[in-house]
Amino acid sequence: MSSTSQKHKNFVAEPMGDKPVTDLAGIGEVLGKRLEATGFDKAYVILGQYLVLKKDKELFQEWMKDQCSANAKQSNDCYQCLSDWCEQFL
Amino acid sequence: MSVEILSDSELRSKLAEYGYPVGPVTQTTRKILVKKLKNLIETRGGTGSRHSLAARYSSDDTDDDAPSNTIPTKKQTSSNRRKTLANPMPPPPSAPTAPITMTVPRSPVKRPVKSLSRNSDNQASLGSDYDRASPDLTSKSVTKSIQKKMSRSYKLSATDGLETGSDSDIAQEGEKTYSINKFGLDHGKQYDSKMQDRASADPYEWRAQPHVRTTLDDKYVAPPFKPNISPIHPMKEDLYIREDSNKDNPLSNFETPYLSEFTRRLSLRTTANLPSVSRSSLTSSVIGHTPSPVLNEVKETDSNGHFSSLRSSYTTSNTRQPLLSSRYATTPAEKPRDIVRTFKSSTETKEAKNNQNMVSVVLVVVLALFFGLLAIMYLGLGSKTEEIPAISPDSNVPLCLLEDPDHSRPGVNCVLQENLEDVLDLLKKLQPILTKKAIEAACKYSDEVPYLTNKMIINMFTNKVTKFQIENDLNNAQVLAMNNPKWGISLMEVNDEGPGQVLDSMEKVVLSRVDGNIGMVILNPELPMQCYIKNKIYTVFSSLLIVAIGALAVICTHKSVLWYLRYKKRSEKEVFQLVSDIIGMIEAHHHNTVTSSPGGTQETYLAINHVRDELIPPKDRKKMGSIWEKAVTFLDENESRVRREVQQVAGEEFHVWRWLPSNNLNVSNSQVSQCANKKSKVWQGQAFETMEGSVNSLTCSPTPCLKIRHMFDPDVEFEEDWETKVQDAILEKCGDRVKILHIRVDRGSREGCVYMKCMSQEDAGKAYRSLHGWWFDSSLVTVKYLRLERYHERFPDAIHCKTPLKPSNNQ
Repeated sequence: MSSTSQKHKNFVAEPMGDKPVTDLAGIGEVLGKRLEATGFDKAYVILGQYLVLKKDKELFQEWMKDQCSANAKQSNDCYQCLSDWCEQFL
Repeated sequence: MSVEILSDSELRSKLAEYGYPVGPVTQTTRKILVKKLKNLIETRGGTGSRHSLAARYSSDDTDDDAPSNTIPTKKQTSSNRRKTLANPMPPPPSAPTAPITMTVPRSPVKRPVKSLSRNSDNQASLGSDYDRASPDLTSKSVTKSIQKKMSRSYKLSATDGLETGSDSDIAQEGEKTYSINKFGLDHGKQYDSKMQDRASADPYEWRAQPHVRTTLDDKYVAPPFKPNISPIHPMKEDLYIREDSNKDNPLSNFETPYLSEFTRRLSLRTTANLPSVSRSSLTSSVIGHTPSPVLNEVKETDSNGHFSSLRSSYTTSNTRQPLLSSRYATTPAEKPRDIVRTFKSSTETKEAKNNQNMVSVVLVVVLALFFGLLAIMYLGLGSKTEEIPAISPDSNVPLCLLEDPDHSRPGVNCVLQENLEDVLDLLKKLQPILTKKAIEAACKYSDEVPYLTNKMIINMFTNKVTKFQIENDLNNAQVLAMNNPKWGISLMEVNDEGPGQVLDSMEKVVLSRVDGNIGMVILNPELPMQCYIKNKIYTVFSSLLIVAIGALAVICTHKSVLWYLRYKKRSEKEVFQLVSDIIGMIEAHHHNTVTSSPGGTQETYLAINHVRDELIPPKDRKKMGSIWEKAVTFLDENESRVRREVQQVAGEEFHVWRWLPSNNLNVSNSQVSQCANKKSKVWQGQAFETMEGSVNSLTCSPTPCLKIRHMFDPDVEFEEDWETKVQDAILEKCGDRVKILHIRVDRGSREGCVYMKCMSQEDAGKAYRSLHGWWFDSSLVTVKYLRLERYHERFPDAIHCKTPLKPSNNQ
């Protein structure tokens, strides 16, 4: 990753606490809405899914695509965000 | 059981109905959530909690919570609702279950379902009902178990309130669905679409789909409640499909999230095309079922096309069973494939959909054709394609006969035989000239007149023949033109100033002929297209212009009337403001003088001019002159506490106002009422407990939107900014911890409704707890949750609100 977004930095900077799902990098309003509709309303729920999928990038991206039809960049951003966060805090 | 067959989204909404803060339903969480839901159903007794939730949902958008009692069966429930608003609600009328059992009679479902249909039964729950019914089921035959499943899943969809996204609240929605169910036709469609939605997620119900279709079709064709058609026929299909999918397609039983319905169907088809070993077992099962005698009945009563191929194969196999079975045995790769394809429910529904699409497309096309035809006909009517009638001798020619007095004067009412040729010749020459002139006049190509006077015609032809002869012929020609109106040539009077009246009788013609001012004209020439369109457009635009001017005038008057009314109101308000200022000033002055010098050394009156100069700053005095005058007259006429008199002030006589002191009680009363008015808009304490865990608040808030009632009384509000005050009262009450995005006071409501949208559902819960059950402005405030979609529908601007609001005095 040559450069990361501000959102990414913000998210990785601190424990996620009760942050909403839209605070994750790569997840904007639209994706956030879709995820919330299926119950993924908090970032930690996504983290749970990420962990359930054993931090596998391919699986996670595929899951994102299925769940909220995220494109490759969005799912990659989200994945990167979560993995960086995990490195820091898990 | 019933819980397990729910799809992920259904499971989620079910749990939400029970007020369980549910996360996503995935393969990993599904099991535990199913377990939880079962637990909830058992402990809470089914519908109870659902209705406690429903009770907190606000009704549609009317102020009245009770639904209109138009349908008699609803009456009971609605009255129940009103009685137990705070408590768990009675179950919705279970009328829906009745129609289901009607379509599937003879099944054991009827009994348990009937117990449901008692409206007063508060504890009856759908979920427990399934459980009760299930042992019943297993003891029965396969047919019935399938029907059971069907009706069960049907019920699920019917009670699935949150999913449908309709705009009313849950309880009402249930009733709505039910009432639709009662009238057979619609419910099938609705149900069907639901089934299709679900099909992709749930292979079980996907397989069951053809059943729905058939029951639906039967209903259309045969009179309703024809018993033994649907139960048997669909059962067969169901069986086939199960075998089909079990044996031919292992994928279809697999609930993999990544497999779409399409891939499943695809694999189904490919496996079906392969001649496999299991094919024989399938065929045998097919044939094994076919001899059933009921099938004939099915075929007879059902004329709908969707299953025709299937049915035909049934009948043939029925009549020629041995032959068929051998055929199946010999060509296993061909015939069975057809059958399998027929059984494939998804393919079938797709076809049905295509059919429906076709129908609508055809309808549209027909409509377009119809209007096109209409337009062509209209155009054809508009531009008269009448041919110019040829002038020929076989027309109506009044020849001169000596013995007939009516036809004796050549040139007046008859034509001599020997002149006829010349006359017709002349007319033939005249007609194109007249037509050309008429067109030119109509299309404004030139300023020429459209007619030809006698003089002009004579001038035209004098070089060839003599003037007398032409005159003679012309007279005859006019007689002919008069007698042959189909030629289109009219005669008209032409004065010096221009064309006059059209002449319609020969006598008038003769009269004008004497004066020498007669002309020939073609009144309705066939115009060229360009000119025709130009004329039409001109007419349209001119009429449009007239309409626009009229509309403008109406708008102007309307505006000015409005402005005048507003102006009047404003000035009235200013007058009253001024009057109250004056009274306040005089009263204050009176009090000052009374308290400062009880002996009465100081005057207790005020000079009018002095009051004016004190109240109105110098720059406004001219402008406010008329208002001041009005205020003074108003005081003179309508204010009994102020007396106008003439007093000497500093040696000069002035008109003064004197305050006439009334008794003390009055004063204090007015002061008290004023104080009360000023302080009324406050929170006056809590009526009942709404903190977390109390029976009066939900465990989780279903939506971020709230409807707050009894915040104001629309009849009493008179201040200009009472809306802001009400909003501020709410915002202040909720405090900083609740993020409120949008708040709107419904001015028109009779119940003092305020709608508000919070940042999140938790915020809404907090707001709910801090507002519900409080006294405000001496009325009890009640809060209900409002569906988010409903809120957005009502206040579309709320969608874009992102920043939390703050009280207006604390920006």
